[in-house]
Amino acid sequence: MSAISLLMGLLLLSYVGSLIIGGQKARGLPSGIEFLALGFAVGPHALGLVERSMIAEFEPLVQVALGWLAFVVGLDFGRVNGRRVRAKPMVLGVFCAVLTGGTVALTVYRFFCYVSPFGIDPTGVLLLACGAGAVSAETTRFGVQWVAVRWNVKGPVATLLVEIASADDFAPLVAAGAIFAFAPSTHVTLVMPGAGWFLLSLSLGGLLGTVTALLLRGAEGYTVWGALIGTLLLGVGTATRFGFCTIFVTFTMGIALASASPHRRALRRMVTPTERAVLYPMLLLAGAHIDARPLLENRMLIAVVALALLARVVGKLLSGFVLRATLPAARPAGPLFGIVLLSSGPVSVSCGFAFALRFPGRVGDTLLVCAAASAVLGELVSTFALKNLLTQLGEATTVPPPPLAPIKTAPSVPPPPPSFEAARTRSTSAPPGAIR
Amino acid sequence: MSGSAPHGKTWVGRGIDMLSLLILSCIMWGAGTLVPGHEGEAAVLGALGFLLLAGTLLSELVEVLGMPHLTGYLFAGILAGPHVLHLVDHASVKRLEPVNTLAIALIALAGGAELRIATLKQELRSLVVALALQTILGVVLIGGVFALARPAFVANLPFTGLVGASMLWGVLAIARSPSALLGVLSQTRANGPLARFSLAQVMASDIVVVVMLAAAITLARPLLDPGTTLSTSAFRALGHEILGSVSLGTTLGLVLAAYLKVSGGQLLVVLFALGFGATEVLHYLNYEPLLTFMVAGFVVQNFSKQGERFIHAIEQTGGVVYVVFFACAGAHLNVPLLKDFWSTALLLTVARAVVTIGTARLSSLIAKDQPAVTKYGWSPLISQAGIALGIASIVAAKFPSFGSGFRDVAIACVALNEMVGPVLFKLAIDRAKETKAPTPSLSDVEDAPPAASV
Repeated sequence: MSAISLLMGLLLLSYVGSLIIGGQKARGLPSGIEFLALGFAVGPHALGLVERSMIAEFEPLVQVALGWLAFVVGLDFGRVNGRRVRAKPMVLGVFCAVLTGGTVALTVYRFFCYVSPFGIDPTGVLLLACGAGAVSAETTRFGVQWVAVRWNVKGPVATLLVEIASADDFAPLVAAGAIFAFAPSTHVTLVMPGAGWFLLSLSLGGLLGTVTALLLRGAEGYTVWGALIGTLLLGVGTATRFGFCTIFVTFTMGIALASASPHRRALRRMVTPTERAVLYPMLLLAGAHIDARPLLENRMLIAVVALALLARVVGKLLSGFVLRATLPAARPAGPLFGIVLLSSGPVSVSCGFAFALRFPGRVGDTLLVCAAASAVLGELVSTFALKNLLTQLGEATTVPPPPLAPIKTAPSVPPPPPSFEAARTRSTSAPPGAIR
Repeated sequence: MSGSAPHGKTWVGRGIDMLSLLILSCIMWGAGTLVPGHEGEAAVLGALGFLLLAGTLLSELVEVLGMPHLTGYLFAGILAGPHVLHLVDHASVKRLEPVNTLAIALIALAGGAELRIATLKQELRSLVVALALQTILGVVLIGGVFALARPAFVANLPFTGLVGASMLWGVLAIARSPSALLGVLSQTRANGPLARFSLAQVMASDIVVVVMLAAAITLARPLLDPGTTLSTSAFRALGHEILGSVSLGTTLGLVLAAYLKVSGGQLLVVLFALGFGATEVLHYLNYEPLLTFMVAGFVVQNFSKQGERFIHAIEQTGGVVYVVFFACAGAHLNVPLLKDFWSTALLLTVARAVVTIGTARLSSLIAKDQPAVTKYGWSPLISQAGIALGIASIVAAKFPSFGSGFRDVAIACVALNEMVGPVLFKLAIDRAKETKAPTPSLSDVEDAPPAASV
């Protein structure tokens, strides 16, 4: 397959993804692992239709896609369906992610205290443990949203879950930023401790977000997209150059932009529909990048992946207990509430992919496999557990959502650039009361 | 990026724009200084982002001086490029070339879609006269000036050789810049006799130049190399190329029109697929992408009801792509070369401008054009960019005896025309009162009442 064919394939996926945004049905799987699987199937380690060199050629595109997804998460961080996430679920969402990530990281690290890590140096072991924690921390909001749309879910537990799932993206992205900061690029001439690099990457994201907000004051037409894409590319380019975590930098950028710009609502309406269009090609390339050879050569790494998954289950069960103990709305969910938090998806895979690109070899490949395995586990266990739970609680019905009436635009509205108009139409096209 | 005057851009706003530009430049400089010698993908991404931002910001700053945005994009590229501040290195500029592929496709699609049969019928007489005079007088007179000036790189050629080189220079001189034209038109959203005539003339002149180049190369070869004989094979190849491009362009246009009618969604992705995928196929088939896409746009506009929608989609995508395209063109400009050849380049540029203006006036008198066209019809013809550079490269490759000098002087001339041309055209459009109001800003969208959903 030539590079141009791969590009056409990615554009086709992007096309499919952007069609799904406009749809009312929950199409595909919530974590998008089917695209991951497709990528693996066509990748160099299965059918070989896409060669490794070609994936390397597309690395800039991957970095931008990862950056864009994290930017969208940052821009919409702390909000669900246009309204602010309540403080308590927000704090608990982050805490639960830290708890799960910490459990996984500690378990993997302790494992290597008893077992010799063949071919991985002590720094690599630390990186592997912390990275496993970062890629295992998330509960994807897509899982809850998927169930919500498919079974017309409404109720306090579903709302709580989507809030927690939305808030907990913070932990893995910040953890990835911190881990990368302790291993800056070898080309950098400046010597600084890890904390300094972390602050620098944080400042880069914050500064670019603020500059974007300044640039968007009264911006018109294509200049809005120009400013967004321009700062994102500059951010991704600079972060990659320094060896920073691109997804952390752009996530920070998104938060800073949402905080500093008075146009945050319009921006969210513009940007959010692009998420799936970027996500599917990214998942395909992530799948193609999965290399299981290091794991097969060093069986110890298979044990690491299994252990990380087990620790994730324990971490999420603990999180379930914490949530039930602190939030009255979560109490009816029962003792296995943590199981429904097991779904993982784009943020985990993005983290895993970012690690695989930055630390190629055993560590990076293991972390990407870890992220993919976590998504598969979540898909097998969590989605249906969630559906069953919400049905038991009476929050899910089998009645399909009511069809939408045609949308009319107020005639007094000045003709906005079509991107905003489309964004507004899309934002109003969600079924009333449904959780997006 | 605080919008244009109607959106209340204040001096404070412009100050903030400058401050933002300074911060972004510092980030680029910091990255280049602290991570030296890094010419990988990261540098390319950074360069792309910086050129996009700097181009947009500078375009709004030069707007105060009444200059077109395009000039701002070019200046951003020149300043940031490898010959001035070196914020963007040469390798990065080179690796950004795929953007040109997409930009050329969008420019040609937009150009074709802007041409309406009704307008062409109305302007047919003017168009034929203008094209004929600009082509014949342009090649003869500008070629004549070139022969009289006899630049150093053709000083050793015999008289016949000089005639051949002058003919090639004449063809180079009649090349225009559709991208510059569309860049200015998309900024000003101009609509009127001048805008319509300019569009038709520049787009049509593209085809004429392609034919003229093939003819000039065929005729010049025996003049420059007496050992070779006149061959018509180039014309056969050209005929095949033109016919094939028109056929494929028509098919593409019909498919696009059908798609727009049936679905029409996700046009951004479709345009990207066209820009990269279709161009690759066209290169493989040895067809001319510019002509093919122009015909496709023309078909969508004139043989379906989807023209306006199509133009709108291209404008949306093109806006961002044009910034990078022109900023890259600016970064490509070889400033030291301009310094070396400034006198020759200036003489030839002035001669071209004088001949172009004179010929445009003459053709307007003959065709009895509307006042705006008579007065300013020359203004879109000054700009030169990619096509002229492409011709220079072809000449350099086909005639090595003088080609490299020819190309260097051509680059210097194109640099001058590229900087001056869009300014003159924008000025003319403004004077002819064909400029329209800008697009709504983010604030307008925020302030607008929400769409009523029932």
